[in-house]
Amino acid sequence: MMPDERVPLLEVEHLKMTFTSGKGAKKVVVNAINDNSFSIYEGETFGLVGESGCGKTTTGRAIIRLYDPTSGTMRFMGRDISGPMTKELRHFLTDNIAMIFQDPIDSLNPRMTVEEIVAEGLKYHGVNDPAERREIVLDMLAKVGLTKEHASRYPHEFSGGQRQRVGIARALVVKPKLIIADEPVSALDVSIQAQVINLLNDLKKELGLTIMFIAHDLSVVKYFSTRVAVMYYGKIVEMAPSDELYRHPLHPYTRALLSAVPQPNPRLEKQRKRLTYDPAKDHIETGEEREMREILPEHFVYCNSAELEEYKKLI
Amino acid sequence: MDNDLILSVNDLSVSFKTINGMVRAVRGVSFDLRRGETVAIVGESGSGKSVTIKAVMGILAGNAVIDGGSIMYGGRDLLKASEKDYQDIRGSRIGLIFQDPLSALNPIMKIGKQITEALKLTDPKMSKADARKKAVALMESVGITDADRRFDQYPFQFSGGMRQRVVIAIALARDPEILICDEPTTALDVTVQARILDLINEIKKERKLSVIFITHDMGVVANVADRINVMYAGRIVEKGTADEIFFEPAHPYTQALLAAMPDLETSERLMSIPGTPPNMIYPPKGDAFAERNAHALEIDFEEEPPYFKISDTHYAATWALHPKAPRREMPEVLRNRIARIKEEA
Ligand SMILES: Nc1ncnc2c1ncn2[C@@H]1O[C@H](COP(=O)(O)OP(=O)(O)OP(=O)(O)O)[C@@H](O)[C@H]1O
Ligand SMILES: Nc1ncnc2c1ncn2[C@@H]1O[C@H](COP(=O)(O)OP(=O)(O)OP(=O)(O)O)[C@@H](O)[C@H]1O
Ligand code: SF4
Ligand SMILES: [Mg+2]
Ligand SMILES: [Mg+2]
Repeated sequence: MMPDERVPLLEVEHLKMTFTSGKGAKKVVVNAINDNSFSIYEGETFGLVGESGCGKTTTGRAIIRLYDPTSGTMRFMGRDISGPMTKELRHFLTDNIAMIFQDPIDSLNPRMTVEEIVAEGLKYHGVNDPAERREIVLDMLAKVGLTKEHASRYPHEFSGGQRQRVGIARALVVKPKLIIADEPVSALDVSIQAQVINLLNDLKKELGLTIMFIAHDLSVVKYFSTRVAVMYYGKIVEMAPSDELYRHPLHPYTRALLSAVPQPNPRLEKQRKRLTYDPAKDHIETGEEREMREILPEHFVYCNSAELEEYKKLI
Repeated sequence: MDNDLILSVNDLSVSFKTINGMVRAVRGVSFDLRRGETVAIVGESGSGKSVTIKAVMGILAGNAVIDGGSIMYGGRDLLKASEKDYQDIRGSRIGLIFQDPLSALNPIMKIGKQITEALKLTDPKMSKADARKKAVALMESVGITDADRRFDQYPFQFSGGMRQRVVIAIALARDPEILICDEPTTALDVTVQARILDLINEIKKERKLSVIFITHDMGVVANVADRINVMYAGRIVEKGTADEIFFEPAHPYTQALLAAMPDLETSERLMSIPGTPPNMIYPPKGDAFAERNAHALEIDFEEEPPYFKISDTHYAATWALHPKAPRREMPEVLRNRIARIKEEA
């Protein structure tokens, strides 16, 4: 798809999320999201990577308004979703955006059967006829590779991979426009991870989903995403089409992150040189403000103009 | 014969008594460890990796039953050692690093003191000043900057990666011959993980340490291992040098493990392993992997495959290697990947 033909589904501008805890001298302020702007286009998979605590989950939660952003605007399907919360806005959000969580065990109600769990969202969507609901649910379960027989079971009677399928079915059954998948495979064993990744990939093609894919595993993000944003301490420092980002990582943090990913290749691993990132040393200070600058089409780096010139030499 | 051989696990079997029956966690595991080498044990959750090394350390849970085998170390069988002998071995000869560094540290004791206590265990006559000097040097050698100041801090003032360095420093304070690492980097970020792996590799070279490294991450294995044991359902299903396992995997489970995760170059569909691992209260009769293997033979469901020799260092327990078994090519995804990574190297 050409960049200009794309339709933005979600537009985020100058999003900030600050958490404050403690009082007086013990007051701690965390800038979990520190002035980020990005768009997610219809039909794409937007990957968000970064290390523990950099603000990935907070970004997802701010979009579905589990948090009230400190400042910034968010538009979804052209509509402002960052204003005061109303019943109507809550409906609009739950109708259109669904989240898949990292831990399939914690996110499923242990006292409900799989059928009830998946059907729950449909009730809120006005599918009131039980027979119709059941049909939709069974159809959805079949799509994620679960059978009728599974429908009457409880979450604890499933393996981790199967539970994650239930979570995916629950998210997809209401036909959301955007899926936010927050580390959907991190808690799973390798052999099960592949099942879930393949399933998400198939569903993505079959249903034309738009996905925001959050993960810390760069190999998985690269495999899955159209574009990728790299986050460091609340700030998106680089954003580019997936292949481009891995071909030309420019920000020193992205470069360090990429060099640290262990690759399943013993000869390469044993001689690999790793880069480290030191925010105090790896930048050029000129007094000029840093901002997201487009260095190649669609490839943005957070830098000042002196750094931009340096990065250009790396391409 | 083999002068460098320092630890040898032979046909080890361990079960656990539970209300539902006996869990056959480890079923006939054998491997050797030589001076200065790293042996990795890989396999998915529940395959018996931790139980195997807990048996070596003599720290199995109370409901464990050793069904058989031997663990030869320093001319004796550890399975027959007294608790007093074991305390000695755990205290100084074999160091252990767990996944969760917090549980290994005392939360209310200063970091420095935890290291000096370990030092005094090996040399009770060491003076206080000497112990401090040595501890600070150890902290520096595992990459803790500003060690003199941090000596007086508590664990909660350290990040996850820093804590794991402290645990490594404590293990090294006892000057062990063998270092056992059970998923030491699983809870850490990749950049922190990379530094810890580099550190372990360095120490190993410097001190001619022997390392047993447990993980389920094939990328991490590629980084650390000289030899690899692949475990599935309580058995080692394949063993070989790192090159043999990565470039000539013979067991269908090893192949699946390698092809299941994308690397940075993967674009094709992943090879997924259908189904789930077996319930170890009722281990399957034949090859435990057979029910998840689309190409399983009839005999796989009947009889446990023996080890077939592929080279002096490479063995796999799969009927597919039987001379009379139908020849089957490696899955295409994996063949392509191996060809590609050989080129990269
Ligand atoms: N409700 C909250 N109150 C206070 N601080 C919070 C809250 N939620 C998150 N934070 C802080 O905000 C920062 C970002 O957290 P977040 O959970 O978004 O990180 P993450 O990128 O998802 O990390 P991980 O990979 O570990 O899941 C962290 O410093 C975290 O401690
Ligand atoms: N004390 C115990 N009582 C009963 N069963 C146990 C006990 N300890 C371990 N097991 C079982 O033994 C099997 C092997 O466990 P082990 O801890 O060795 O797995 P592992 O390979 O280390 O997995 P992971 O990657 O999850 O750490 C599992 O099925 C586990 O449930
Ligand atoms: S013995 Fe049979 S089922 Fe087992 S791995 Fe080999 S071919 Fe597959
Ligand atoms: Mg998170
Ligand atoms: Mg374990």
